[in-house]
Amino acid sequence: MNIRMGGQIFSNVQIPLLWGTRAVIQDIKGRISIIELSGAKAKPEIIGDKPAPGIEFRPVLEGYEILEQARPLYTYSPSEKLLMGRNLGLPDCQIGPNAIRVGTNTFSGNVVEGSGVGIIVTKTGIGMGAPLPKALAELII
Amino acid sequence: MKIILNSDVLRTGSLIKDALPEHWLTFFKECKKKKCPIIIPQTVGLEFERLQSEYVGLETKQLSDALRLLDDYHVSHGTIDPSRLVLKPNIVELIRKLGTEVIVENPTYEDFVEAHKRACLHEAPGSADKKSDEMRDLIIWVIAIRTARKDGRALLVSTDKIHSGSAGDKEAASAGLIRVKTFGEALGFFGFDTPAGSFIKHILESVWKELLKAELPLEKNISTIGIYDTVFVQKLENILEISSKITLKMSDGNPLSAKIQVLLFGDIVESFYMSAIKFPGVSAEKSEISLRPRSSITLEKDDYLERLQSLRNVLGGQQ
Repeated sequence: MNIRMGGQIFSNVQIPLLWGTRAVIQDIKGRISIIELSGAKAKPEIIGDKPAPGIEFRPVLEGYEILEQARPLYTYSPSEKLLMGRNLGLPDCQIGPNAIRVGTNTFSGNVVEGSGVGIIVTKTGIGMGAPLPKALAELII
Repeated sequence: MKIILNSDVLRTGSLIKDALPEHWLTFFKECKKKKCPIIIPQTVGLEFERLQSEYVGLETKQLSDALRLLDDYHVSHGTIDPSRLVLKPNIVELIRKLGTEVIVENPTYEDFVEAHKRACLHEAPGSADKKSDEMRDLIIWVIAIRTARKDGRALLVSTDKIHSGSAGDKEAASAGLIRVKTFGEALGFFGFDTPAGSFIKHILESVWKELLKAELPLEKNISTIGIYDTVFVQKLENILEISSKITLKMSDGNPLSAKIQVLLFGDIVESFYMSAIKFPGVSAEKSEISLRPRSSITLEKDDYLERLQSLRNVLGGQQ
């Protein structure tokens, strides 16, 4: 995939931004999609800034709270392009027009080429240009 | 009641220029209405400044690069000094402009000593797994506890583990410190209608006459006491399934609680099912009501297929 997102250029990467086990992708209109990859098949949770079909959610002031059996997993704010980790134990992640912010770190003007993952965010750290973690579903919608 | 903000709820993905993000505005305007002053600990103000400074640097550089490019192509332009054009926002001034009271709280010497002691001894609300910025978090915690003790209660808005974790439960309860993680939760605490609550009210309005016909002892005009545990599931083909627990006001003033399940086909309320209906002082409880109101409510037009295609275009390399 070749994509410009949050002020970075991701060239020939499989997933530009991996937030835990969720791929984060921005479309040409700037809308964000979030796809859960921990299962056998890719499961879209947010498609183009709105909850995907079949996903439990609740509208909140910030945007949408994505739920699992009525338990909040994370909150996504379409106006701020902000993902808030809630019960996932992940740092906040925000796709700005010129930068990607992860917790207190800001990424800007980077080029990532030929990697499995452009920016990887886990509970314990952040990395750039990482290989694709094993046991993730293929990113096919 | 004073409201203390942590830096994590004031982070943005870009430089704040003229206006604050929309949900911040809703929150600060509500604080003004409720006459709740906002406390920004100096530590939080400095962290906000640091992140915004990064964005100032970024935008200044982009503007300088653009000017250089124009010069390279001999495109004339006026004298532009990017460093004078790109300004660092002042969070205190931006909130005050809304008419909301803001207090910048500097940590006292005692706050530093207390936070330092807790950091060194790994005392609550911190934990044994150290974080590099633990001292900053502890200073904010000590300020929040001090404020709550002085005023009898206070509200802390923070997603930080140190501030919201169970290690601080006992101290927060004894000081009267209420802790929420988002501006939305803070508004819920003030009884402000949540978006989910507003949506359910909208649906109830559309079926209210039918409910009265079903001989529920409700007030003539819709009156809700509580709406909670609301879950939405968007089904395919424009179908939205909603479940919620509600408490309504009866005509005698007593509460009536129930679970509801609603099916929306586009903007039509296709079915409305009410179960576990309970109201006090009545021995024969109605167990369930099933309606097919086919009433319409106003909904945003669904553009699912366009959004899906747009995502597929990115994945397929067509962007």
